[in-house]
Amino acid sequence: MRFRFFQILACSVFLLVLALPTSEASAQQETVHIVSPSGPYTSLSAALEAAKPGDRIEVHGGVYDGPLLVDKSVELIGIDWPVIDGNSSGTVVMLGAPNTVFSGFVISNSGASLDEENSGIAGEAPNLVIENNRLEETLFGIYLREAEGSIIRGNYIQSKDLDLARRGDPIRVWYSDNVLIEANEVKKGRDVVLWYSEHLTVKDNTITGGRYGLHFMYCDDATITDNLLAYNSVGTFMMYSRRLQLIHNTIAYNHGPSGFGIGLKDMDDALVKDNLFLANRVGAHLDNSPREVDSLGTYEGNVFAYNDIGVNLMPSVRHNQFSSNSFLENQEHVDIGGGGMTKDNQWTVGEIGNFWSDYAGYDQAGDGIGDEEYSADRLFENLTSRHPILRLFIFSPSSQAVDFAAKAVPFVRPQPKLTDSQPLMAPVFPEQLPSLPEESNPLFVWISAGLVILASTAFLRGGGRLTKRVKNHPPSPGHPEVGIMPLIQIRNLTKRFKGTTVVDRLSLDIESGQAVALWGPNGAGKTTTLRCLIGLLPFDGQITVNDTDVRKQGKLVRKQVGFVPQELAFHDDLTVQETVHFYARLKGEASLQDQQFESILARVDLSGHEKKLVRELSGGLKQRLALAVALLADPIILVLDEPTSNLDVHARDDFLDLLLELKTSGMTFIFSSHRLEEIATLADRVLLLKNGKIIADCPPEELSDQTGWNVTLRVLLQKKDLKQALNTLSQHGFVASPNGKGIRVKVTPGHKGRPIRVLSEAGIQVEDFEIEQLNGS
Amino acid sequence: MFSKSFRITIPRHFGKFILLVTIILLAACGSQVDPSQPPEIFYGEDVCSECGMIISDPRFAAAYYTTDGDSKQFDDIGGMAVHHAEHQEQIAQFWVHDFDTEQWLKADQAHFVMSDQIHSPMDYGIVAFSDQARAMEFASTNNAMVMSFEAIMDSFSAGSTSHEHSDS
Repeated sequence: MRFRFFQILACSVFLLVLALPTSEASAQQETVHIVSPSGPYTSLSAALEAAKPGDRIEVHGGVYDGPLLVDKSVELIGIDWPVIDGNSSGTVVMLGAPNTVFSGFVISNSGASLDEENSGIAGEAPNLVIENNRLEETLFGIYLREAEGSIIRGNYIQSKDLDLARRGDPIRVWYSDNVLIEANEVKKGRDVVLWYSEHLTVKDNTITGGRYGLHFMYCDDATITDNLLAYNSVGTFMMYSRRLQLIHNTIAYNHGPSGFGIGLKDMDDALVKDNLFLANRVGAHLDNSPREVDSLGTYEGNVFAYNDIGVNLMPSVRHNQFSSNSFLENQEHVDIGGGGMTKDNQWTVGEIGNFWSDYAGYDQAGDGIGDEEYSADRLFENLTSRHPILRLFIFSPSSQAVDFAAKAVPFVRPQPKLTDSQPLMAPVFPEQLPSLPEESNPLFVWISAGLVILASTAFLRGGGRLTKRVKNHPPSPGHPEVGIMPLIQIRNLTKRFKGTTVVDRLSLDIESGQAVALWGPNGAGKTTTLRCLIGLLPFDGQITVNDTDVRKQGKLVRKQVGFVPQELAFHDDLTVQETVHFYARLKGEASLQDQQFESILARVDLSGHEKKLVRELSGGLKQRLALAVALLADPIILVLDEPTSNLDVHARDDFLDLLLELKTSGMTFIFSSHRLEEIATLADRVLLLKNGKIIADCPPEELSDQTGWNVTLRVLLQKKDLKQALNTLSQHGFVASPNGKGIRVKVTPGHKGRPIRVLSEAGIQVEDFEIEQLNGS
Repeated sequence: MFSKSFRITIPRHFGKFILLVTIILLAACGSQVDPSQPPEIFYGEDVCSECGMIISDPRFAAAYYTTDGDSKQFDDIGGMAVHHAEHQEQIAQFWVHDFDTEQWLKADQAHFVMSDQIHSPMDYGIVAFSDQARAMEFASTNNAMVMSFEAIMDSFSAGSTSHEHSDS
């Protein structure tokens, strides 16, 4: 019995083992149904009828008639491109069961009824996978209704060659959340329509030659990435949706009617990031977006290049932030419908602005951010915003004339429509963007090259900057570089006030390390010249400082120039320390290190006065404070307007000593003065100004020769010495004449002590002396 | 001094310029304002005054004239209704198209059908017919009713101007 039991058991196991592969094989036969022109099944509907949910139907080649209704959850896999032909009637394939996989077919010839929405593939069940099919000559391509969680991937869809108005939509997704549309190639359709569907993902698709690459309504939380939307009338128009993320797409040559790269209407909290908008009529068109008061539009890292208009804001569009975008050679970077300003839209976000290819500013600090703000205020642009028809004249001589008028006559210059306080110096180009096919995209290749060139130009500009920075260091005396190029060049400087010419065609070169005095009577034009030099006054002619044009880059010039005005305007209730820090912030040196602060104070001999209020300072100390402020940005040039005029004798000497020390360290000086002591002590060169013209340019010693104007020293002597003194002085080449109790001697500025020394050496005692003021002043 | 030179030189030329522009603009649009004639829409080129989209499909396209001679065009009858509800312009004439013949119709003489099953450009789902019987037939196949233009406009007026759709 027992043996027999084991026999049976062994036998059963054996049979079981034998049976297993057999049953597996039979199971396979049940789940995979083969359709081909030669069978087993020769029609799709027969195979479908036989199939159970979960079965796989393989279709090997052949042409099959539509329509095909798939009402079971099966896998339909085409091998060797089987064709399902709709015979130009109705919809070709209908997928009505969830989880159906439909892949590898050619679908062709749907009907052409727009009303019936004849389609290649219509899906009306959740979790469909429609993959790697070719749709040809279909009116609508793939049409999903209430097909949530479905995937449309890797399909090629080319619509019937009809007028745009008669075409259907290559893809339409309707009331279907969480759909993935990936890596499809869509050509010459009407619109890819995505309506009433949340959490859509649209990625890696190529959509060309249609009307609206994407049309998108009521689709919250959509993600659109890495798509190529090109040669459509409009790249994508997105409406009535929240939290769109449009990232890293190439949106190019959408230049048809309306011609938007992207259009946003009533879009809240959209993020548009790292996209390339190339050669569209309008890169991005914003209409009532965002709509809600508390929502925001974010545009960052995009490139807007070679569009007619980079960004177009409809009237009253606000709450959009633009940063790190690169605006390259658009005919107009930003256009505002109806004119006006881009109120409540930000072009600098958290200290980060955008790159503007027409930005003419400079980056002294080398931090990649322009020193001057960018502002777009072309008059013609303002006009075209209000009168689009004028756009016809863009680039025409009339447009240039209008802009020329605006430049020449600042009164007609409009309010800037936008300002970017932190413009970027170099464009940023997102990497590995979807690219246009080579043969059709000469401009794309070209622009990529252009961007490289631009970037390298920016680099070169940076290089130039480096060179400049080297030059900016105070040159040591005798440095070979000194004198190669004048540090300050003034050409035909002319300034008129109320019909009076205050400075008249003044030209001048100043070498690095020189100290130049402007000397002359009041009204000679000294102060005016200085103010023009630092860009505080508009003027005619040209001034360059360290190769930088004062009129174009006044701010940059002022960074290299420390200015000590005649009238000091400090706040009496601030301490010395607070004052210096306050001006440091004004000059953009946000955080002045304690060490820097101390060294500046030491330089001007103010150490120990840090805590004193300005009101408590003497005139001399105030002047030193002014000098400290002037030295803040580490200037290479000091401009002083009557530096010691308000000081007493003692303070004057101290202050001049300070200036001399700075001069020794290589500082270049230009100052106005009417004090000969000042000039004699400090200046290497004196320019005598009269009626706004230089009438003499000489070393201080030669001033009297040059001008015939003299300084006269009156020496008071004991009467008995008068005659001897006259003789002695004459012998030493002085022009002297007796005058009451003393002698008047003409002296050279800077050498006023010489007569006294000569007299002393001759044993003649000088009782007293005085300087007689200059004549002619 | 500044204002003097401004007054003398710039406005004179500037004014001429603006004058010229005005003349061009007037010449361009002054000629064809006749509300009793249907407006012209360049399909595939003109843009909807409400949504900004290109008007491509005459079957759904609509337009109106204001009493001061302005005309506005729409890609969807519903878009026109929304636009009018929001802007409240004085209207001289509303125009729509016959869905079948694609001929212009005065809106007050048309019969309308509004249905979720009609997918118009902005999905308001409104079409118009000159013939009432045809409108009724179309309504019955689309599970809808025939409506007057007034009723259509009322459904978009105050309180219900937003573009809302119920799930089908």
